[in-house]
Amino acid sequence: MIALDSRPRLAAKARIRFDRKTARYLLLYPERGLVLNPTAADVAKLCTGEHTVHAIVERLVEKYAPQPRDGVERDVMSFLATLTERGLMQADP
Amino acid sequence: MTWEAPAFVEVKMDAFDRPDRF
Repeated sequence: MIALDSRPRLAAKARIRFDRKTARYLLLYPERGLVLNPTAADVAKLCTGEHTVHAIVERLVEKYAPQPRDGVERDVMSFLATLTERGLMQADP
Repeated sequence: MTWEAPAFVEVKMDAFDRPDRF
């Protein structure tokens, strides 16, 4: 369960890479990959285990101003939950 | 920039710059 004070990081089997041909970031894991849209890539790149979810949301609210914080937080939490369910994200307390 | 909900499309890796970071 990822909370606002969790520090999410990619699972050991997952890597984020930039594909020059498609100009998209991909989240790669064994035999599969996720082609990320720009905001998903922004979130994934910040999941280093250093930043809390709260801090990640703040960075994105700043980047995408004047987007309301509530919507960004909801979307980020939902995205992180999806990646966690797939075993691609883990959260340090 | 316009915020859109994070999304992805899953692909099979079958038949990269190691990057504009924050």
